[in-house]
Amino acid sequence: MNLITFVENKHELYLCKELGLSEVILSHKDFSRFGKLDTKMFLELAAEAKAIGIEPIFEWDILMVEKDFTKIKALFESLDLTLFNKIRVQDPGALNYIFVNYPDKKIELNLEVGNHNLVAIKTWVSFFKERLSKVILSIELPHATLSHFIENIPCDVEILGLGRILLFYTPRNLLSNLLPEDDDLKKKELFDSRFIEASGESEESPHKGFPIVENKHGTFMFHIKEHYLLDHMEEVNNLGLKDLRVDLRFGKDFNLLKEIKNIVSGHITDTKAFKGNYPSDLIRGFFHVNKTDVLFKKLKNSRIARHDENYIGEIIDVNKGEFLGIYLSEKHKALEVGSKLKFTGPQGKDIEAPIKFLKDLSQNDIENSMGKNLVLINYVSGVWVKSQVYSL
Amino acid sequence: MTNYFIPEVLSPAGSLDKLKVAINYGADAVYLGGQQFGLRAASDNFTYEELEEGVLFAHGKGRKVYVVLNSFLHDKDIEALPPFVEYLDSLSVDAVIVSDLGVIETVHKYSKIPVHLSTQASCLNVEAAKLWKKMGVTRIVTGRELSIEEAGKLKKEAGIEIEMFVHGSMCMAYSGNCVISNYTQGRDSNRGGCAHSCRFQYSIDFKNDLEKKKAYFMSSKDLNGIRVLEEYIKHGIDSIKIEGRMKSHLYAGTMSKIYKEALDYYKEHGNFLSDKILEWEEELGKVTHRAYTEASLIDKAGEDSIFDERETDSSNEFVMVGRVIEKISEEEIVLEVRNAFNKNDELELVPFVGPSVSFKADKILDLGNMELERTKPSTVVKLKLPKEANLHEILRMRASL
Repeated sequence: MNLITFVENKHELYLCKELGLSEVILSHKDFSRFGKLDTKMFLELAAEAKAIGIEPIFEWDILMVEKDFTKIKALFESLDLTLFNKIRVQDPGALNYIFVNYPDKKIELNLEVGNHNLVAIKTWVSFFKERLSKVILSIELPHATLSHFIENIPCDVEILGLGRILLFYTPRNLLSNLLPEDDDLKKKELFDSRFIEASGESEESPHKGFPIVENKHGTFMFHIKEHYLLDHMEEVNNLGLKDLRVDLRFGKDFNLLKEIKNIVSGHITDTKAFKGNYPSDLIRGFFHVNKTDVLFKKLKNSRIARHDENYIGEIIDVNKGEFLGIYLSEKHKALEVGSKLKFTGPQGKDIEAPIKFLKDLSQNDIENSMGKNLVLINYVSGVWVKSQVYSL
Repeated sequence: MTNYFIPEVLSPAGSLDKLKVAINYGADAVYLGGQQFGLRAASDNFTYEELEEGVLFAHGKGRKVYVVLNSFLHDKDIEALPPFVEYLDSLSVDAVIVSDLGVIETVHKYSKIPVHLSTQASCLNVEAAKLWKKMGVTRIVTGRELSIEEAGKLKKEAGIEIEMFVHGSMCMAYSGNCVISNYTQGRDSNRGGCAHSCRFQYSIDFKNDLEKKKAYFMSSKDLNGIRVLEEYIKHGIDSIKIEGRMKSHLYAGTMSKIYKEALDYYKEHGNFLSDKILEWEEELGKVTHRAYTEASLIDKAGEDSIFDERETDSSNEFVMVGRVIEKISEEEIVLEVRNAFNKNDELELVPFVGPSVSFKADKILDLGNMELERTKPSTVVKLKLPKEANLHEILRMRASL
């Protein structure tokens, strides 16, 4: 398993070389969500990487509406693409564009959003076949699932091992409008190159201090802690990954990569010092378990949902000691005096009782409920409004 | 009547009752969710029996039913999908709305149901539309960041049907690209557990000498496309979609009615040059909503699309009083009460077609014919109306009463 990371300058590139990294990700300011490199720096860095034997990977991970895509395509076509063998994309539009128009380029497909089932991932891989050199999988997948997927995908896989967890991405500018009108960053000539950073906290969330960034691509919010798998290297090594990604952007000391390399390669096993010096709190996220669907059952009362072909309708009125009003299902089995019913209350309690009388809304006795939307039957103690009615 | 291309009005159906309301008020199609695989875990959603009844009802009136399967499914979820897909196929639903390629594959494998790509997949450009078409998708529900003009280009250049939101609440994030709830509430927002953290107030610290700012900085105003409806027609958008499966019967009915009425007006006149637009706007303003925006329908959503408030001004809003669930005689109905009202309150009957009719609730009876001074929510009462009403028509009253 290799380490892979983003580099923003030559110092970082040379350090990668020194540490034996074979590939680096380059982020152009117009193509990458957090890219800071202008075209000149981007191409220089790519050329230098090639010169020292490191493969530069072109990151194109912004999402683009059609008008933006048209502009960005023009820029892409103007670049010296001979420096790059691999393009890393997330927007399906960029994916299709590269696939169709650049048959000599390999594609690294970012599947970090969604794509949590093997059917989806295998379909992507089989569609793009040998053009796809790697897929980047979601950190919401627990290691057992990742392991199963990697065994079954005929393609290299990368996941994030250390770095910020992106929670939210919008193209709208959400921070700059909070700055004073005379703030330098709001000046027209600086606005396009802005990189506004802030932190946010809400009284309605137990989490405080979400890092937030606004740049030309929109606004991004991150988790208060960073994703960190370096305490689980045995499990990570057993996954069968090609690459483990480390993201030291957003003002971190790039020299931390040395220590990370030593942890990943097993030369350092006690990570306490590293974690103590790391500038953010760390979590392993869903690496061991993802139970983000278990609370769904509590979001609604399944007992008030109708369940089977014996369904008659719902109690919509209770006149204590007098009658129950049943709102009948269109397909209900006709009711008549003597029929036995089951009432399932919102609390889940079942009550069974026979129909002693059956009346229409004018309180006239009727033979059966055919053609009616609403009928009255005898009161049954313990039956509430919203109880579901079934025939027995 | 002219031959202008008119989009379909696609309304939300959070429950069987809402499906009937939306269709009766004019929706050409409805979208709804089963008990699993959708993005509204807390919504009533449809059981198998309700689905069957809903599809029969809609098809009986010549309308379409699309079923949302738009969660990003994990392996254990997708294992349960084939029987449900086969069941939907047996009901002849008109399409499924999907965001996950694994679900698309499963639907293709187990059925012949057409697949519409959910907005959750954030399809934003022609190239993406072409790719999804290759994957077997027949319609794209575009990302909300797209303009109508851009959506029209997708249709023309990718050769695929386009469905586009015209009204309702909006995600601030690119749909599918927000996992705040996953990490802060332990609820997968892309499997139906969104906790709406974007609606919270946040204190923003720029870490300099600026004071912290308190703001609902991630909350979007609600979309309202009534003023730019002609653009949808001009660019050949196939379906205009109304958001809101979790919203009320009144919302489902009003939105379906107003957008259908507006499109019918265009069909007849070939323009919207009428004071009717003011009436439609006024009606849309009467339903509970955040402040309205056209978001990115024409130009990119700007600062004015942010809803920096907790609540909206509700002084002009109406609330649903109830729904007609039985006709006793021409003018006497049984009303399922949603919001309590008093004897002599001024109510409005909202007919399926035509203007609302005001009347005073001067006599309210319970089902035992006892006269009531005040109703209670979740009860049923008998009421006399000034004109004949239809089953499923809605009564409303001013929220400020």
